Amino acid sequence: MKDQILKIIIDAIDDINTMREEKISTENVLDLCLYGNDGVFESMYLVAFLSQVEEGVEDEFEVEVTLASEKAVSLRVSPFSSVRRLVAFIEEELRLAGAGAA
Amino acid sequence: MARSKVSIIGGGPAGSVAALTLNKLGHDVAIYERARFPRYRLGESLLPGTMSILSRLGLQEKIEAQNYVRKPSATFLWGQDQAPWTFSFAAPKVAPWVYDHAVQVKREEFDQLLLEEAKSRGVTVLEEATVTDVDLSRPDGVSVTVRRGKETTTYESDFVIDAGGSGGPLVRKLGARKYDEFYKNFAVWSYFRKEDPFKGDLKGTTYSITFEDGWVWMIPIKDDLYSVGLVVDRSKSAEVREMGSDEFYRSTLAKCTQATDLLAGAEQVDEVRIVHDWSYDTDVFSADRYFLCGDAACFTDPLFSQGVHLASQSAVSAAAAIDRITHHEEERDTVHAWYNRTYRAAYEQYHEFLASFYTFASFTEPDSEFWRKRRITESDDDRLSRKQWFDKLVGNGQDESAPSVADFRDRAATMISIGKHQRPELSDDFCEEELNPARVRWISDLTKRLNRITRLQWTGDKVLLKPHYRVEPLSFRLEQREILANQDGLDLAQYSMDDEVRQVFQDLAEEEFGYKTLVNRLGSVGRQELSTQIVLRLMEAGLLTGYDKTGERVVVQGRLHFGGVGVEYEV
Repeated sequence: MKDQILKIIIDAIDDINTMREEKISTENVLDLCLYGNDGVFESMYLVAFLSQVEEGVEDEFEVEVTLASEKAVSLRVSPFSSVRRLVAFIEEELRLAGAGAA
Repeated sequence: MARSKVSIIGGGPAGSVAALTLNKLGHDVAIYERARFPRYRLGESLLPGTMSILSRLGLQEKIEAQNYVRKPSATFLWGQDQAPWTFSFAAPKVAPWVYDHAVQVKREEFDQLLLEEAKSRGVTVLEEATVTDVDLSRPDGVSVTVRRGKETTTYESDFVIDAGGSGGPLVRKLGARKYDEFYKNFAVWSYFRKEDPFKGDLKGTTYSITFEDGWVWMIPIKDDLYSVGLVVDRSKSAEVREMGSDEFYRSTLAKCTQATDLLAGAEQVDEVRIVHDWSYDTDVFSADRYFLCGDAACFTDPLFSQGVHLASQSAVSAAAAIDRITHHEEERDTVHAWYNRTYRAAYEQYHEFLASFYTFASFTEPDSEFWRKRRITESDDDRLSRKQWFDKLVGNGQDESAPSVADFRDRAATMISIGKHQRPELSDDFCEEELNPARVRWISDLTKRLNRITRLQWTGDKVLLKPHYRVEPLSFRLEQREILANQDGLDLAQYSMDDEVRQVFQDLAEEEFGYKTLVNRLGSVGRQELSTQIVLRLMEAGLLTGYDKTGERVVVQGRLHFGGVGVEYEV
C-alpha cells in the first residue's frame, strides 16, 4: 500500500513539474518537505496538490480521503512536513476506512 | 532592430530601473536627474519582488556586496493588546526569480548603486540637471528642456518617462493628480543607534506598531541604525507648529510604548525630519509618448514598504511598453491600456490591503482622529468612490450571502491570525516555524469550503479568450497572451490561458460542475498547481460563483494579496 501511495504522490509531483520553471526534485522524495520552512508548495499550491493526491487515492483505492482535515491539522507533526509523513497519514486513513486489503 | 530614444526624468529607483530595462532591450536612454548623487531619501525597506527585478537585470552580485540588512518579513504590533503578527516572505522557489527575502537599505547608497550601474551600461546620466519643461505637442516625438547651471538645453526623444518623484515636472504640467481623502498623513522621523535586539527569525524585520495617534515604523539598517518614524494624521500639524518638530517627535514617540521598549537605551543620532505623506494617484498613467512611473504617478501610505516596488514594477512595465510600441506601433493604444490597467490594479491592491488593516486596528485603538478617519464601516463611504475594489465589494453586497463591507475587518483579521505569534510580546523565541499550524488550519478551512462547492456558475454564457500582455520575466519583452473573459467584459488578467483551458470553462458554463471536477479538469490541461488559485481569482473577478448541495452560495475568502511578495510577481 505504501508503494501505491508513494506512486500517487510522485505522479502528482511529476504532473506539476511539467509546468514549473523550477522543478521539484523527486530524489530522496520521502524526505521532501511539502509545506512550511523549506517546503516546495506555497499555501494555494498545496491546496491544489492535496486535491490531486486525494483524487489519485480515490481512483486507486476507491476510498474518499480528506487530507487537509481537522485530524491532519491537529497532529503534532504536520503530515505536510514531509512526503514520508503524508504517506503514513494516508495509509492510516485508508486503514481506518477499511481499505487495508486493497 | 527598431530602437527608440527615451528621456527619463529622475534618477531614483524608478528612473534607474526603467533605464536599465530599456538599455537591456536595446534602446537609447538618457536620465536627467535634478540632484547630485548620493542624496538622502526616505523609504529604506524593500520587498522581495524588487530583489527579483534587480536580480533579473543582473544586479544581484552588486547588491549582495553591499551587505544590506536582510529583511525576512514585516512584523506588526497592530492594534492595542494584540499579539505580534509577522508577514513572512518565506516562499518556495517555484521559479528561479522568486525571492524569499528583501533588504533594508540606505537609500542614498542604494539609489546611487542603481544609477551608477545604468551609467556603466551606457545610459547617459546628467546629474544636477533640472527638467523645466516637457513638450508633448509633436506627434512624432517629445522635447525635454533641461537646465544645468546657467545653461538650458532642449533634448529630443521618441518617448519620455516621468520618474521624477512626487514633484515630477510632467505630472505637474498635466495637472492630473488626485489626492486620496483616506490617507492624509504626515511622517516625522529620525535615526537611532541600536543593535538589532533580536538574533533569531525577527532579525532584520520591519516593525509597524500602532498607538493612539497613528503608527510607528522601525527599520533596522546598516551600521546598527534604526529608522524610526511616526505616521500621524495631518490634523497634528498644528501641534508640530506649536511645539517644533523635535519636541513633537519626542513626545509623540513616547506615547508608543511598544516602540520605546524596543528602543530602550538607544541614542538618537540624526535630526528630526518631516514630510507630508498624502496618498495620491493620477487619472492617466500613460498616453501617446509619455509614461509616469513611481511616485510621479502615485503614492500610497507606506505601511507595507511598497514604494520602491511600485516604482520598480512600473518602471519595468513602462520600459517593456515602450519597447513593444517601438516594434508594433499599431498596438500603441492597447499597450497604453494595459499599462494603465495593470499599474492601477497594483496600486489599488495596496489600498485594499491598507484599508482593511486600518479598519481592523481602528476598532482596537483608543478613539482618536487618526483611527476614526481610517475606519470603513459604511458602504456609501464616498472617500472610496474612485476605488474599483471597493465598488466590487459594495456592489456584491446586494447579495446577502456575498462578501460585504461588514466583512471588511475580518479580512485583515484572517490574515493576522495566520501570522500571529504564540507569545503575546516580541521575543527571540519566535520562529517562523511556529506559524505553520495556523497556516495549515487556514488551508484546511479553505479546502473544506472549496470542497463544499458542488456547483460552480460562470457569469454569462460565453467563455472567451481575450488578448492581453505580459512582461516576460527574463527577456523583459512585453508579449501578447490571452486571458479568460466573458462577453460582458469581466476577465482574469493574472494568468495566460489557452483554448484547452477555455474549453474547460466553457464546459463548466454549460454543465455547472463542482470544484473538485473543475480542479481535476484543469489538471488534465496542465494547470494542476495553479488550479485553486485560478478558481479563487475567478471568484474575486466576479466570473465564478460557487454553491453547495443545498443551493446556498459558498463565499470563499481568498487572501488579501499585493504585488512584490509570494511566488507570483506582476513583472
